This record gives sequence, C-alpha cells and structure tokens, in this order.
Amino acid sequence: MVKTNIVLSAKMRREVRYSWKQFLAIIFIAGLAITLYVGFSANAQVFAHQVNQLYQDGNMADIWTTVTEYKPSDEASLRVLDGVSAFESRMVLAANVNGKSANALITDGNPVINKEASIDEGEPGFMLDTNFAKTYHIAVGDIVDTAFIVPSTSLFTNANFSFTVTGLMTHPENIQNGSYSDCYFLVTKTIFYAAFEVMVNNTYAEPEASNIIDVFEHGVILKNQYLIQVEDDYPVETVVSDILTYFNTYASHRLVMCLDIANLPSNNVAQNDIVQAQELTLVFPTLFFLVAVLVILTTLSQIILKERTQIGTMKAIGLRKREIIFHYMSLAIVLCLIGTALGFIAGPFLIPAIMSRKYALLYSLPAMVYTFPVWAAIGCAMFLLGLASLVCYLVARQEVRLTPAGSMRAATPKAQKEILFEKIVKKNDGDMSLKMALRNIRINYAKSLMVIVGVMGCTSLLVCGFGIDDTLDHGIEVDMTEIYASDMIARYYADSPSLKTELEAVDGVKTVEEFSLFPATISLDKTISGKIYLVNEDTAFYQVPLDPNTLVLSKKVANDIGAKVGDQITFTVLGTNYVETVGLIHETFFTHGIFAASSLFPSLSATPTHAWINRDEGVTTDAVKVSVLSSVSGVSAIITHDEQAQRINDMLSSIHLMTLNIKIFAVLLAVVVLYNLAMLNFKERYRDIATLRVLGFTRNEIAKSLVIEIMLLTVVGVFFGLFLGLPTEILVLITNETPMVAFLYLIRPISYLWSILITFGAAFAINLFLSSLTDRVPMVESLKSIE
Amino acid sequence: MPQIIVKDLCKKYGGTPAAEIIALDRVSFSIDQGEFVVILGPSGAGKTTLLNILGGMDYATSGEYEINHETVTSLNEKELCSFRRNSIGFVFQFYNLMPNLTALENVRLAESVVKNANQSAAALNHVGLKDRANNFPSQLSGGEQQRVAIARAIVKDPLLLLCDEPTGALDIKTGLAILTLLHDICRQQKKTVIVVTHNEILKEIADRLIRIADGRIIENKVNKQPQDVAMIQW
Repeated sequence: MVKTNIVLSAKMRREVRYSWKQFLAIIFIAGLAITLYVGFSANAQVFAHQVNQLYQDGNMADIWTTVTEYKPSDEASLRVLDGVSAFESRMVLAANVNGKSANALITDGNPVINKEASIDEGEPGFMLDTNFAKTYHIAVGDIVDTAFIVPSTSLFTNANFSFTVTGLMTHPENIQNGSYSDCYFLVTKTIFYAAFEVMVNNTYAEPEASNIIDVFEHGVILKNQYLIQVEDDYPVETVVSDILTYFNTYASHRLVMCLDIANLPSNNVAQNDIVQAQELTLVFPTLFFLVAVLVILTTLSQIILKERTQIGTMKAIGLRKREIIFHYMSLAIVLCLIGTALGFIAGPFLIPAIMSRKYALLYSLPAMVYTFPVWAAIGCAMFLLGLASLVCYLVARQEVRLTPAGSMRAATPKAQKEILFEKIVKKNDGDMSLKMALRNIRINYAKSLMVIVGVMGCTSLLVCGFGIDDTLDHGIEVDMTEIYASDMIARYYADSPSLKTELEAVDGVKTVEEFSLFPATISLDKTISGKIYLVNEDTAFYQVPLDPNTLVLSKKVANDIGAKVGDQITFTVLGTNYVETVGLIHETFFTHGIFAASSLFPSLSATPTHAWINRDEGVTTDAVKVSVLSSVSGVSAIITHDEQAQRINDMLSSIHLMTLNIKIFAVLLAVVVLYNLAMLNFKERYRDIATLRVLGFTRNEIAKSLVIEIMLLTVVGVFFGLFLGLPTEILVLITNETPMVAFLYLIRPISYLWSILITFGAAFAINLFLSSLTDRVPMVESLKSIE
Repeated sequence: MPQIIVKDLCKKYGGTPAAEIIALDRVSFSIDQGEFVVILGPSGAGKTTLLNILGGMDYATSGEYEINHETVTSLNEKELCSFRRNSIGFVFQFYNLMPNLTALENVRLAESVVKNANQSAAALNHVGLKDRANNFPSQLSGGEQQRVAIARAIVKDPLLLLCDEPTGALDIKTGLAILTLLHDICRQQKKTVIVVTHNEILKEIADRLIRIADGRIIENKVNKQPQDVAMIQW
C-alpha cells in the first residue's frame, strides 16, 4: 500500500527545491542561531580543554604553601598528611628579566610538579616563558640580565645575574599571558648558584666572596614553597585545613600563605573566563532563537495560507488532520535541519577560531583542538526543532480546523478599518501606496512584529557594538587622565629609599611625585585582594579630590566588598590591620583599590614605591625613560603613558574583536528579517503587482508601497532598538567583565547615528533588491485564475 | 431502496439574524445507486453547498442526509474524515491538483488513504493518461488535469463520485470528453455520479435532474431516456 507520508514527502521535497528563495530566511536564521549557540558552546569547551590540558601537561599542584623559612621537619610533616599524593619543594623569588617583572622558579633539578607544560624550543636549564621571550625578542642562547628581589637579605639588592637562555617553555602557572602579568622562568639550582657565584665574585673581593658563597649555598635561602598534589577523591580543602593546623600548632611564624588551586589568582581569571565563555552561549543565541521563531511563524503562516486550497483538497480526499499538520511540521523541521546542519558545520569552526584570538592575547595556552559540543548541539537542535514544530503546529492547526469546503473557499479578507494614523495621513496626503502599506502592516501583525523585533535586534546590537567601543575608549580616557596623567611611572625596587632627588636630577625630567602602592587585603561584607595607593594630598597627578581623613574607593572594590560612603572598612597592608572610613567612591576603569592621602598613613608612606614623572618639553618620553633606567639604580621598571594605554588596548583587543562580530551578526539579522518580509510581501502580492504592471504603473510606483511598508517597520524597529542598545551592551559586557576592569558605560551620539544609518542601509539594500524583483513579474499572471 | 436520502436539509451562513444567508432551505430528495445525477442551477443557488454537504466537506445546519443507511449528518468530524476517505470521490472545477506532485503521485496520494484502493497506474490508464504519469500539473492541459482529478477520485473506488462544475474550466471538446468519461464510469462501474453545473445542456444526459434555485429544489425528475454524451449539442 502506498504510504501517505511518502507521497507528501515528495511534495515537500519539491516545495523546498522549487521555492528555496522563500525558505532561505528560515534556513539562514536557523543556521545563525545554531552557529552561535553551538559555536559558543564549542568555544567554551575548547577553552576549558586548553586550560585543563595545560595544567595536565604541567602536572599542576593542588596546593601552594609558601613559607618564610625552609625546615626539613616541615617538609617531612607535610609529606605524610592524609590525602597528599605528591610533594615537591622549590624556591620562588620575585625577579625581573631585562628590566621586566618576572617570577623565578628555582628547583633542585627538573621539577615533576608544576613543571613546564611544553618545551617550545631548546632544553631545560634556564627556561623562559615563550610569549614573554617573543614579546621582548629574546631567543635561546641570548644572555639576559636578571635581578632578584629578596627582602630578607641585602645580598641581592642591585645585584645583576647573567643567565644564558637554554630554552623557551609554556608553564602552567604562567597561564596569563606575559604581556599582562609577570613572566615565569624556570631555573635549576645548579645554574642559579653558578650565576650567583659569578655575581658575588664580580661584586666582592676574596675572602669575603667565598664566605658569602659558602653561607648562601648552605642555607641562607634554600626553598620557600611546597607544592602538594592531593589524591583524586580526597578533598583539597581538608588538606589545606590540615596544613594550616600544622603551621598554627608548630610554626605559625613561618607560614606566608596556603593557597589551593581554586584560589590561585591566575587560575581564577582563567576559570572566570571559562564561565564567561559558557554564559556567552546564552546572550546572542537567545535573540537569534527569538527571531528564528518569528521568521518561521510568519513564513509558514504565509505558506499555509497560500496552500489553503491544497489543504482543503487534501481534507476532501480524506487525509486526516494530523497527516496534513505533520506534512507542514515536517517542512519546518526539514528547513530547520538544513539550517542546523549548516550551523553544526560553521559554529564549531568559526566561533572558537575567532574567540581564540582573544584568548591568545590573554593566555599562554596549548594549541586549539577541534571540539564538537555533542550535548549542546543536540540540545539546541532539539530546542529549535521543537520550537519550529510547535509554531508550525499552531499555525497549521488553525487552517486545518476549517471544513474542507471552508478551506477551499477563498479566505475572507480581514475587516479593514482606518486607523488613527491613516486618518491623519489621509487628510494631508492621499497617497495610495502609503495607505496600502499601513493597511498591510495592520492586517499582518505577526509579520510586522517579526520585522520590528528583527530590526530592533539589529539596531540594539549595533548600538551595543559601537557602545562597547565607546565604553572602552571612555574607560581608558578616564584612567589615563585621572590616574596616569604623567608621562611615565617609575617602579622602585623593594626597600628602595626615596629617589625623588635622583630622579629630578636626570636630564629631561621636569617634575617628579612619589607615591606608594602596596598590596592589601580589603574587607567589609567580603574580603578581597587589592591595592592601596598613597598619594600626596596636594598631588598634581592624581585628579580625584582627596580628603586627608577618609579613603577613596574605586567603584569596583566598593561593589566587591559591598561598601558605601561612610562605611568603615578594614584592610591589611604589610601585615598591619587598618580601619578607616570611606569618603568617596569613584568610578575607575582598570585601576582599582583604595586611594588615600599619604598623611593618613605616615609609616606606610615613608617608603615610596613608585613615582610619576613628567618630562621637559622637547625631550621624548623614550629618551627620558632610557636616561632614568640607566642613571637611577633604584628604579626597577618604567612604563610610559603610551605604553600603558597600548597595554590596556591590547588587553581589550579581544573585546574590540567581539564588537566587530556583534556588528556583523546584527547586520545579518536585519538582512534576514527584511529579506523575509520582502519575499513574503512579494509572493503575497504577485498578482497585484502583475495587475499594476498591466495598468501601466512604473517599477518605482509599484515598489513604493512595498518599500514604504519595510521602511515604516524599520523606523519602528530602529526606535525601540535604540532604547535597547544600552541594556544589551550592559548584558554583553557583564559577561565579559574580568577582575581587571570595571566598565564605565557610555554610548556616544555618533554611535546611535551609525547604528541608525547601518540599519537603514540594510533596509535600503533589501528595497533595491525588492524593486528589481517587480520587473520580473509577468503581466499575464494577473489574467490567470488563482488556481 | 434509494442509496441516498436527503431530508429537510438546511444550511445557513452568518452568525446574526441580520447577516444570515440561507444557502439551502429544507432540501429533500433521494438518489438510487448507479444514477447519473445532474444538479442544475444558476450561480449562488446553493448547488455547491449541497455538494459539499453530500461529500462530508461541510456541515448542514439542520436536516438529515443518509447514504447506504448511514446518517452522514450525525457524524462527528473524525467520522466525516473517514467517510470522505472511504466513500467519496471529488472532482473540482479547477482540478485542485497538488502542483508539486506528478500526475501519478497526485493519484497515489488518494490511493494512500484507502485500504482496498485501486492501482493508481490503472486509474490513470483508465482516464487515458498512462503516458503522462510523470508529468506535473503545470505540464498538462486543462482536460488532462481534469482527467488526473477523475483518476484521483476513482482510485479510491468510492460509493459516490461528486463533480463540481467538472467542465466549467474546459473547452467544449474537452468538456464532452470529460463528461463521457464520467458517464462511462457511472454506467460501467455502477457508481453514483452527481454533477453540479449551471449548464442546461447536461440535463439531457442525466438519469435524474435536480433543479435548484435560491436554496430550494424547484424540480426533481427522473429522465426516462437519458441521452448519450456524444448526442448532446453544446
């Protein structure tokens, strides 16, 4: 027996084949929605995989215990704690390489825990982070000048060590790209001691040199950090608790900190980005799914309406309702499946590839591995297909409800009545095209709504895209004029005395103002790690008004700890607790912390750590930088105003890249919905157009009513889109907020103007296309019967 | 015993009394099995409404209609669908073929809904379109399309063949050919064929003529000597 579904599937296949233009919008919007969802899901998985792979390759520790003094008894006790599966000790020192901040990891031999994830070039010995080396043009075989900052001994102050770079590596602890955080280098103790001996011999005379070497190598500094891995099923927190108990009981003075991987700052940032990557799967695709539903709804409504007689005939033949509904549902499913297949192909390739550019700027990660997010793909495909089926079911059911005779009669035109706007227009202008357009909008609510929502989405995404650029520029501008208003900032070596006089003596230096910057633990409702800036009350460089008795908090810190003006907050700096009142909360972009007058903390201010420097006119910043670095030995590094701005711009380049994607997808969205409207209107009025041509109307006159309808709906969509721009921007940026920045939201008027122009540009392009279609309508169409 | 009995059938359109239109007003008649019935009347007389109710495509407002002792007017929507599926073959004025299905597939669509249907190829062969089986409706002439529609109707081996102005869109020669085909089906297969038309000529070939005007039957007579289709003058 012949199966009804088989015959109807042949009908459906041919409908898709011969009327593909009509279905293009459904395929395209379904493809876009799936591309975005599957693509962002793949991106989250790829990124998480890269992070995990890096940790796995580097055999990352679960717990870092830093001490002031190494004791074999501590090591012996910690090794046997319950749950400890592997243990290693090493020395970690703050350092700088060729004047750039770095962290030295000094190990007994080749480490097993927290080893290099990959040796990218050369061999172990003195291995430098690959990205850092590439950024500063350091190659294997080069000799680098290194300084170590060891507060407990004066041996290292102003001492330069020379190392030959033996290899370049990617290290799991250096997951954050060296361009934005301190670089890590891995050096074996043998090589470190050899360099130390050279330094001592160059600095001290015998027998003092030999004595220093002897004392140092026998215990001044041996190790200061224990790396611990915990058994798979054992809770890391329990081991951390046991370690803290051990030190509290036996050697509290030796413990600096005990951190598990969940609280490791670099890992926190990466994990935060993984969460953001997952959240991105919900931001854009939601809008596209919504538009997809509207496109499917309106397109299928039109198709079903057009096939009204066929539905009546099928019912007359004896086909059951469910068979007819299933036929149209399967049409929607097939179209969505085509879009889904395209999305499955494009998404996992396109989105991770684009987003990897963001991650490459921020992280040192292993190569990207293609990932297909199976469950996310199945989930969103089922969601889309379910949604399409439901929409189609509701639309088809409406038509199938009629009796066969009712379906075969021409549909009763919807009752027309003049709307207020039409009445106003009529009095002033009797333009028939405008009337037709207004009436068409009125009787096709769903179709009109689709276009309004689509155009609204386009405009809001464009405003969002341009607004993000404005916000970033504004943020940089605020911080660079209020906090980094100087030509350059010099960083002093630890324990360095005031260098103001020395700096002022350097050629080309015009003014110098010192300030102190310390790490701080800040508490109120919540405790966070932050910084405290201590600035002269009469500062010429820090532009925010300072009260000598209260603190200024950056807004991000205030939000993080839940502080408001008048609150008393607690903070710890260099082991001392302070309680002070918040006098002002100030919005900053990337400089966060507590700002206070030096006079409020005289003891802390006694040790300046940084200096703002302005140069003389006619001298370049770079020249002054070189002069300062070469003549003032207490300065460890200098960052110029331009370098700082560039560094922030680099850091934000990923977000700039994202805004470009948003703008592209916004325009695609507008094109799809407007194209769909144009095609639907064109098909619907095919005979009308033919009749108008027979009557002698020109192409422009005929296209006018179609164009007016599109443009009217575009105006409404743009209007609402402009209002939605800011909320969309905030939504997008919230998912991209990192601990590094707090966005100062701003959309400039020019951004609104660009958004309007681009949306209308897309509408205009569609109108041109539509006008060209009217020429192709054969006039004989108007003379043929509807059938 | 008549195959079809229609008693006091009424059909009204419009919700309010002011807008009410009476399409059929207490229509009663009966038809014997194997009769070639012509329902004649001007436009708007209610003949298509009557045909729709006879075919289970529309509901009567009141009255009774039974076929082979089954009261069609008391059937629910689902039962009406089965009734159309198994008992009725339709031929429309404008053919109503699925444009995206070939001639054979159009017939197979009807074949697919009935358990003991005839073979689609045989039905097409019967209407003389064996060689056009794989052509789409747009590749067929009006007469050929109507033949496909007839093949689609007879493939289900229905009790009743209902034809709404089957020659209305055709030229004289083609129209006569279609009428011959319907007449032959009636005579050879003993099928009851009801043809709705406004063309007076067709009354000559009818076994029974039902004339309808303003929703009422004004003439219901048995033609004792129906002519052969070839004999009628258009």
